[in-house]
Amino acid sequence: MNNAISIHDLTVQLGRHLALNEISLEIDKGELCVLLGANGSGKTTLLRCIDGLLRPKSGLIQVMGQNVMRLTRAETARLISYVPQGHQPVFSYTVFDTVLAGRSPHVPLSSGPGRADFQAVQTVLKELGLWSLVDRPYTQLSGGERQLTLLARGLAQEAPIMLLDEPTTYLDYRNQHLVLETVKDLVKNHGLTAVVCLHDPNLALEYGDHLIMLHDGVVHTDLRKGTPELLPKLETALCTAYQTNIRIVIADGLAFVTGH
Amino acid sequence: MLQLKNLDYNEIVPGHRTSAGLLGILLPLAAIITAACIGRYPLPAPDIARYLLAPASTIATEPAARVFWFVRAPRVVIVAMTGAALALSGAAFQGLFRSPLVSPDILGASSGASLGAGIAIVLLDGEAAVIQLLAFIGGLAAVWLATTLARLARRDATVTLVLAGLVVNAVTAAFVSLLKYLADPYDQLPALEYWLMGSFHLADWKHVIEFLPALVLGAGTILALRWRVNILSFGTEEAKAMGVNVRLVRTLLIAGATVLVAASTSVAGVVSWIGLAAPHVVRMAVGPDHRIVLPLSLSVGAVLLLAADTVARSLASSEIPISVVTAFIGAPLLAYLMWRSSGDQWGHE
Repeated sequence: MNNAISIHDLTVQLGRHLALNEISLEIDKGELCVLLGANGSGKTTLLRCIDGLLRPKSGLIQVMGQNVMRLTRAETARLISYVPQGHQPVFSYTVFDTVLAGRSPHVPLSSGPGRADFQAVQTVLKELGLWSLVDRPYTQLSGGERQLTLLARGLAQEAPIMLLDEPTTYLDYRNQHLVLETVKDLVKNHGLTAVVCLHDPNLALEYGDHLIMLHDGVVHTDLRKGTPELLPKLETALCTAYQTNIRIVIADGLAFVTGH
Repeated sequence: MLQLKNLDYNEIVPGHRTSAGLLGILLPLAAIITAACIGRYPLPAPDIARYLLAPASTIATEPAARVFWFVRAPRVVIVAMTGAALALSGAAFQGLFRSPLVSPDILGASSGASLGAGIAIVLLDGEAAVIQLLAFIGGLAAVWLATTLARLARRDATVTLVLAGLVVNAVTAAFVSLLKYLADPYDQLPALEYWLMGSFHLADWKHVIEFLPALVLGAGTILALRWRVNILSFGTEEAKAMGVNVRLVRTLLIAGATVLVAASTSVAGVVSWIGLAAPHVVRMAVGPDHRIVLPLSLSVGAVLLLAADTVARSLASSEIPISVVTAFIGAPLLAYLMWRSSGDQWGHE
């Protein structure tokens, strides 16, 4: 079994709106899969369904071979971590305490985190180069540091799959690449499977092993690196999704997405 | 706050825990002893030490010993317990509802208790024990109603609970007003009004014994879940993604906090401000981690209410209602701390 995530005929209704309409897709173990699509195309809805946070109207979602709707919250969290956008928290915990929260699915309800959990957090922080910020309150971090801290929290969950919801949205150019470079390293070195929502097609092209374009609640395009005619197909998909004239040009052997 | 650059976290945690824990125990003990000394009948600390060890025969013959054992001691103990209970439930609710403005009556616990007491005083002409019992039941019932309303709305959001609490608070307040209108103005109305302002002048050992199981149960539940409050405070969705059974943990926390508020309100009447202010004091001292904030809230709540009650019973020739004092102390204290703090323990709204 090579699939980390496999989805069959998934339909999700939000109020009267059909957010996802009978979509099917497979995401392999150890790949960095990028979800593309315009605002409201269903990217976040899909992530929430995969993590069992949203109950679909019909369809089946299997995560590491298990039906996600049959799992408890803790069981799901040991399979999947969810990295939200860097946000303004109500309580400004230190970096250590923020990342420690990720240990929750490994700690029984009646007890608190112990030595093994502290050790795990320490390892994660050192790996992501955050150890020097360990006692810094979250609100005193830069945007890039916040996103890396949330990434570390997800990593501390020790789940084989990581979902990232637009992790680059509020970041400057350097930090966008820093975060995605980190995710790519994790995929390569830890065998992690990552599903990332992105808005920037250039970032998708640079970092994604697998590109899925959602449009109006259906999978418009499903492409893997190495697919013949990848760039022309992607170009057509981008034009449809964003309803504007988009071209992919090649310079110095690299592909760039550009408007008009 | 902690400085642990270049240090292994394992080396620093135990030391930090011990010093906070020691302070958390010593501070309220010192406050209890100090409060026991002060009063219209001053009791010097060495005498108190002697009374504590004295045989029953000495206590019966010495008036000062009787004052200590049957008036002062049960009072300072119940005040400390009430302050601890209200502060802990306030801290738990602030974490759970992710807001610094939340006080323990957010889901209607103390207004429900007021309605229960009002029914006992006005409709049943009940004695103290009946008032206490109905206040306790009223507090539990109001919160049960609020959570049921929120469940009927079938939306798994914290804001639904807040709105349901608002509704219950408004309705119970209206009933209490109605009871005041119906009350006999010479006898029942003042009794109800005094109850609503809170007082410990009836404190005795019976109250301590009745309060103790609620305190152990409520505080035990909340403290066992103290780390999960950190995780819940990231928001419902993120907490679920981190494997927390949000509904279960939230229900347990609300139940624990409600038992604490209902029990303390039933013995003391409505005591305002402590539940709101004490957790802020703690957070400003040690940061936002609920693993430390929740246990320390017990201590700081006890100390603050002991200070307020000591003022209430010794400042004027007749006793001042406790909520008047807590508001006079609590509100400026909070303003001062807001002015002093850099605002690190709260994120920006």
